[in-house]
Amino acid sequence: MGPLGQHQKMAHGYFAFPKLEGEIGPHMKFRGKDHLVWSLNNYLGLANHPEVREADAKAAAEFGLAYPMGARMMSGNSNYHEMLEKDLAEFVGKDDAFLLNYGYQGMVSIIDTLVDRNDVIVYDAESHACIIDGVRLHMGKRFVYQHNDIESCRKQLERATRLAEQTGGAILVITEGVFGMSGAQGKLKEIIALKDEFKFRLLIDDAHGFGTMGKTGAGTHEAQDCIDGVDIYFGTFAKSMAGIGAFVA
Amino acid sequence: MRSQTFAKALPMPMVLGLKKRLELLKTKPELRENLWKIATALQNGLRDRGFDLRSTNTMVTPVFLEGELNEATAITMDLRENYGIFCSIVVYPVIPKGLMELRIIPTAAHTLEDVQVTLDAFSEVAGKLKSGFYKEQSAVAV
Ligand SMILES: Cc1ncc(COP(=O)(O)O)c(C=O)c1O
Repeated sequence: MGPLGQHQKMAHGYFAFPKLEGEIGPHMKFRGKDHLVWSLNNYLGLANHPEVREADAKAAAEFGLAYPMGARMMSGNSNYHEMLEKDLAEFVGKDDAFLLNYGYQGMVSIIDTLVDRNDVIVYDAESHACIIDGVRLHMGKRFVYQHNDIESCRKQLERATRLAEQTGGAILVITEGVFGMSGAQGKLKEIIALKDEFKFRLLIDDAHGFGTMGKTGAGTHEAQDCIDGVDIYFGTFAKSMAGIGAFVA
Repeated sequence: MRSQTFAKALPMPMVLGLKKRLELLKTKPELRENLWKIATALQNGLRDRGFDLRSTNTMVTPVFLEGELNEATAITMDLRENYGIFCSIVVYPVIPKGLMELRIIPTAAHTLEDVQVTLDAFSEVAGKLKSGFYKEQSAVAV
């Protein structure tokens, strides 16, 4: 159910599933009429940038849409995939990066990969649906803290620490760089400061912050000057990059 | 990672296109500067006019207004049909009952003129909302 909830049916095509037509940008057509559009996460205007359009067209002409076939591990790897990963890792200040086909599924799978049944997840109450779904897959315990509330986070970390001592597991804290609904930044720096008291790894979903936040656009961890404190960084290509897919670094 | 081990790789045109995008993102800081110029003008303008933007400290610009669901749909329609402004609307259950959020996403491709047009339109529709103008309307006509 979308943001219009139970009223979605009544408004199909208008409030839900509207069709914006024309070249992607601030001026597009909706139901045949010109509109000034403020709804797209095309933050940097790259979607219709002439160099981007040219690169997309050239690559499609050269390779078609099929190549490479198969999973990366089996038969679907290429030098370009690896180069892009290297560039991304360097840009966001991490050692390595891995491409994901979609942000949403990628995040679900990242969480699944990072924890086992003995581990404990501590996460922000207003986390994006993909984080919630990832946490749902987790076989161990999870504790949710109140949105961006560091005291609440500390309390849950205390509970998580007690539990992890019993299970012999570790703690994973998950929050967002930029919360897409409210525009609030996750309090990364303050969460990282809690590492003085508790042992945990921090995973951030910076879907909105990648390319927009920080001096070089590396992300919210750059903006808050805490690149090293973020253990696992996630960004999507669906927003400032105006593409599809995502990465984890 | 299971979602990548058991699924086909990203197609090459996407990978090459993404390399180009990343290159532009790195070498054209003016894109990001423009985004922030627009975002700052928009948010300052809205705050000067008394709008409630809550906790945003990024470019994402949520405008919170008080009103019921039918008013939320009516104001969105008015913005689209009569002012030609397309933004998203968020209502209960994502946010509390009695509130609506008009979510504005600025981009580097917008202009200060776009911002001005939008500020003026928001002032007008907010005035209408306060006066009860949207109370009698609903989205059923869509
Ligand atoms: C915070 C956040 N995380 C993850 C995603 C999912 O990314 P994708 O669209 O690449 O699947 C989104 C939105 O699309 C998002 O806003």
